[in-house]
Amino acid sequence: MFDLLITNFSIGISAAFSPENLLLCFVGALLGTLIGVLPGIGSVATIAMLLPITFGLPPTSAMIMLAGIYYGAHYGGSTTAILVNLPGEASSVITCLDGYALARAGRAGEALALAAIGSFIAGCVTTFAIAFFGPALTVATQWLGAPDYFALMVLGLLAVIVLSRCSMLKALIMLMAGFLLSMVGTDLITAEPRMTFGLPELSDGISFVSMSMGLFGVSEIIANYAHGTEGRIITRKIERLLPSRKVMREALPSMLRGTGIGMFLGMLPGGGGVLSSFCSYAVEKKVSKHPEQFGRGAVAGVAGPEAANNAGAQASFIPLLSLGIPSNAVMALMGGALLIQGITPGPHVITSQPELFWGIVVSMWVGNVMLLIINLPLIGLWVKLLAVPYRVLAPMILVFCCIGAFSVHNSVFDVLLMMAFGVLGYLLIKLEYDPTPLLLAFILGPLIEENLRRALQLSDGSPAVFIESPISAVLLSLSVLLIVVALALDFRARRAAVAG
Amino acid sequence: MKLKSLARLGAVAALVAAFAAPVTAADYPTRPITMIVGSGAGGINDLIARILGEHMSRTLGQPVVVENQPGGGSTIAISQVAKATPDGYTLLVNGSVHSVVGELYPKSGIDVQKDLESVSLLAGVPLILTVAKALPITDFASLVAYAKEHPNQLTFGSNGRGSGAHLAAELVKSMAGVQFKHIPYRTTPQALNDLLTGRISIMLGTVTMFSPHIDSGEVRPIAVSTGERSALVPNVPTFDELGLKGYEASSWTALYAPKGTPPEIIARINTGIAAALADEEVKKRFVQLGLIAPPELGPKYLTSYLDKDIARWSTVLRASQD
Repeated sequence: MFDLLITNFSIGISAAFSPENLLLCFVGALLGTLIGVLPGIGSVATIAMLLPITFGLPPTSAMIMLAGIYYGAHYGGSTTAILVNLPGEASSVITCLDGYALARAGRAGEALALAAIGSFIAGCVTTFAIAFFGPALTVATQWLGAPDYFALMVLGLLAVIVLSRCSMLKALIMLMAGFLLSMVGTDLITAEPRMTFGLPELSDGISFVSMSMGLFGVSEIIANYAHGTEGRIITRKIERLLPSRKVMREALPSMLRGTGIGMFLGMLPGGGGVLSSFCSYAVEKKVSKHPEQFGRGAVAGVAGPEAANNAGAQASFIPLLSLGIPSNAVMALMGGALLIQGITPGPHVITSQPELFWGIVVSMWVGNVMLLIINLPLIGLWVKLLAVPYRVLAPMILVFCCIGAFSVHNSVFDVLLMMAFGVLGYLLIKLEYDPTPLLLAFILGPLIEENLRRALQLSDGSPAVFIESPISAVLLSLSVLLIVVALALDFRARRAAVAG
Repeated sequence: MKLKSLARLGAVAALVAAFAAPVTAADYPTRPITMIVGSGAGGINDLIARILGEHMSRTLGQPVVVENQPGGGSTIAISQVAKATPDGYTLLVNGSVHSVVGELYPKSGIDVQKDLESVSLLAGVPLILTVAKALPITDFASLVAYAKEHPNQLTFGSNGRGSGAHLAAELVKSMAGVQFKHIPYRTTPQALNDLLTGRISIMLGTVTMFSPHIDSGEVRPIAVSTGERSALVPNVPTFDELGLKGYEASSWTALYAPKGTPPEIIARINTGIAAALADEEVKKRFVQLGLIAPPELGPKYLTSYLDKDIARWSTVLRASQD
């Protein structure tokens, strides 16, 4: 076992460390960082555009570069989230919450460093985990059926309501709103348009990029101008660029937890960076001794999710390379790239193309080192950006938002939609509603609906299927328990209040 | 001073002339061509567009830019191209869903036969019917027998209503007189995963996607959807051989232009397609992706192919009810 691993690693090292592949890995990582920083421009579009360039490369080199773009984007995505409350990638939405709060407290440099270090640690741990257990873990996730996914998502959602930073009622309202918004679009089973008001632009659903940039980036600008710019803008002097040893000690367990969550969720279909970062945030808030700090600049709220989204991004390669089943759109694209190279993704890739599999695994580690080297020196530069007067910065942010929202579907409608969500986001700030449950329900909504309906379709409409599957039964019992405990605590608190 | 404004006037005039000069079809193309793909990046239609587009950029002398406009079963992309100026600079690449958008999305007001000009078929994707290994089904006869003994128990997966995999299975149902229940998925890999673990019974998909799983024995091949056997799996019979006379249902991808695009321009684009499909590198990639080149290129063949396809699938879809 151990000898085999050493042989495998040496195959991977000789593949990943060839001068050509090192260069391609660097190009991929750099490009990824760039598109990560630019809001809206995601890795799917970039990789699709670069696909013809890789035709002439050997398969391993092509995959090393494309993979670098994908996980590089997860490093870059947090930059604008922290600096100006604008998620550069969908997976960095959650980083806005505490990253931006830290930046406002004059700790932008530390937050950026935490994001980069968290991503780096997650990248390293995930690389080794893939090497040791990857294929075995994939087989385990393959056995989760539609009822199990449904139960897993329900548990996740309930956990978020219970853990939300505002009142449970407000969280529930936001959750339902998120669900309703997620249902706009074409019905999966009947292919009928739902709640599209006859607008063809809505037939593919509401763009997550428009929604998240509106709710975070645009609403923040409105709020800044509405409340007068003092107090909300970073005026405090930036004391340090790198986190102190004490802060690192605090952040490290969060990073490791985030890595674990990301690795598991990244392998699930439809998983990857976004879901991983949301779940990590919820878990960090739960285990934290100071949950009240979350949303006001908690270190764990940046370190955990940023580690989780990078771990999720890398783990999503496992199902593709070990089973031939891509778990998200980027992986489907990678599968296409492999096919063009004459390699059919499937269970045989590890044995028949060891230099490809192990080359990619080792290159991920190399890529993560490069990303850390690219990103840490950039922090100083990014932080200087904050010295730009807000009257100059705000229009720039808005322009980037518009370009980003437009570029997803080349649609002006998405830009208008983003502006509408910007106004909604401002109202939510005024009324003290937390948009997180809305976004999570929006992401999980289609997965919940799809798995619920498929489970019932396969069982001929019998709901017993949710109890017959042991995994689903356990997860749903936990959900019920969670509700009971939360209600009991709530009841006790009220009785104490009445008695007091 | 006077000289300067005169120069300015000259520059403006030159610019106006450049834009106003009638671009004759003989000059085509003089600027980049945009191919709008009706489905997402990385899908088979997208890959075909990018492989051919890359080669056509070289032969036509202008870059071919591939843009994805997924959503609404490709109706968004169709409307966008139908509304574009018919000058050959905006083209549509769409898959077999093109034949059924009228049937599936009556409210969209799209009539593909009236709104677009045919340019050419680009590629065909042979499909193969496979069955989960846990089922006691080894060939087509035992599949039909099992389906008749266990009515409505067999399920088939597809990547959505109206997809090639859905339509091909509906055709098997109607021709063999059996019932399978349709389970639509968002993407093909999700359906494949459920087939591999036996949650769904059968599925039609590309030979390239299934071949590693056929080799490892996780799924059993039953029949191929084309008129002739596939070179990749020569042992697997065609439906036609198995008694479904005339069965032919591959996924296919074609290129269209807005209504009114001059025939000379369409002919010019066709020279680019022909050159690309004759290229050895492109041929190699087609084989690797499990694609076959169309039997005939050009607008005439595509139009008659599309007309037949539309007529056939509307009958099948209306009869199926699911």
